[in-house]
Amino acid sequence: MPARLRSGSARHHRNSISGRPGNRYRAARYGPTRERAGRVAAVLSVAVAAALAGLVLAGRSSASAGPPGSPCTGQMSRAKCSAVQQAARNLPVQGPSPPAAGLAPGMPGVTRCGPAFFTAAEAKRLTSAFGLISCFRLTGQDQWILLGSGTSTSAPRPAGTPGGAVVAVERCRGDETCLNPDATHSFSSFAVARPPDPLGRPLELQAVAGPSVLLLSNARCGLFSFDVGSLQWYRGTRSAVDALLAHPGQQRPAAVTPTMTGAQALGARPPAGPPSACSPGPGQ
Amino acid sequence: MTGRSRVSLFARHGRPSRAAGICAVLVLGAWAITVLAAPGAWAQSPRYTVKMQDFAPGAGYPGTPGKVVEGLGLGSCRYSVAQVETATVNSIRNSYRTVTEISPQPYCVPAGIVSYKSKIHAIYHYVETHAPRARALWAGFMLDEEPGFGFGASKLESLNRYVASLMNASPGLSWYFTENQPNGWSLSTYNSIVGGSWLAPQVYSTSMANAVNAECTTYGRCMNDVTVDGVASAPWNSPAHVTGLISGSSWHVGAWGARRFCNVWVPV
Repeated sequence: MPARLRSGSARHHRNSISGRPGNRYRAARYGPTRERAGRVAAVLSVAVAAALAGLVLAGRSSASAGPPGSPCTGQMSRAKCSAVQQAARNLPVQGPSPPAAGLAPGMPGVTRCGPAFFTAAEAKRLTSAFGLISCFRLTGQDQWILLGSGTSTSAPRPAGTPGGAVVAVERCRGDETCLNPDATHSFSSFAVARPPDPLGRPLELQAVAGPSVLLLSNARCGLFSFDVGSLQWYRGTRSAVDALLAHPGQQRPAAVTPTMTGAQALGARPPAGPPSACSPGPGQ
Repeated sequence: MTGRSRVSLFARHGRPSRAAGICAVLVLGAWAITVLAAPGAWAQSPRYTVKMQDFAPGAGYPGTPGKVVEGLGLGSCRYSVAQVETATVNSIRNSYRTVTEISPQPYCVPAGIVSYKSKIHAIYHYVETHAPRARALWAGFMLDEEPGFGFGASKLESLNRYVASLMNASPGLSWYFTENQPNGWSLSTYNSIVGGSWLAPQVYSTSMANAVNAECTTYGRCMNDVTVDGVASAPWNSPAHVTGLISGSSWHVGAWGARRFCNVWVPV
């Protein structure tokens, strides 16, 4: 063993003075070998470092997912922190808890579109075109409402979708199959309206009022109420909503936007013109 | 390791040896496993056990253990301060664990943040005065502060600082949530806005989930009352799916027992 070590040392010494004529062959032969060995060592080092980094990251995520966090925050006083941490005493017993997974129970007034409401292919097309899709029917009403937020659900960063934001309505007119949330529907049977600013995203449903009025936030364009019956847009104030509920069809729309079929909407890009109906004015 | 074994490991006839190849494969395999295994480590733990859900002032209560009064923008918008006050107090009087949600928007309150401060103070004072059990049952406010609603970051930060100081003075557990769209701001801006609130971020997309996880990784804010859209298309309507994308833990307070919550939004 010592001899081998000495041999290696001698070889190394000889190679280190490869300018001597007798050592050129060895230098030519072992030089590239050492380079290769060095490269392999470097690759292995990088791989080991990457593996360690992966383990550290995985451990970090597990650590953050492991111990329960404290409800105290940096803004809380000591007394508040103590109050939120204090174990519950004599809290009233409430009704049975819903299961942790699955559908949210107790959604009074809303029937959600079932998983087979659209075919998988059509659902994918809708999501690609209009972003996050919300689909439901207000209880007692015979029309399905579909909202496309105009914002991609799958992009790693906030991004718009090619079709922009839409509100779509399918009227069942008493057809039991149509009213069934688990029956398969076609988007082509929906009537589609674009919001006052079709490129303003996200289009968000804030609330419903009465049987057929939706309160929708059209990003910075403002807040609007949408009459599902007429597919018209009105101001989003309380007085405007109350008037719409009391006297449907007698109010002046805040914005008139073109309507189209579902099939047309899927193939159309949203208009990019200035949204004239935007900012009807706070409080108006 | 000996000089010879080092040579035999790294070079034989000028090429890396089989042992070196096996080592490389093993190490790269371990790296691949850690990378592939990482997404599974993002699920909330402990996960939620119950839900809180919206109800409109004057309407029926949801069947979930947590009830969220959907007060929206106040001012000239859907519900008045008085309606929100009454809905909050009635829910608490029914022994429900209650949160009062408000969505600040200049469209609804032209006077801006100053006016929101006074409205929130009025609701706070009314609830504390008229609901004796508020200290145990009222978790305070949930401020839906989205970039699309029109207020800038500095104004929302000002509002949140005010609400923090207000709620710090309250005798019970009540505090405030921020229900925000975390991907709508830069990460540092989002972190500044939410301040020391309880986090209830909307997670309706991959980029929202990424932003929530980035807040956890970067700023250590890892406890979230994740907001799920109850009428979104699958899989985004599933609390189990959505919270499975989120690192850290689900929201809880000792004052509300061992239950852990997620927040389900539905149109009301």
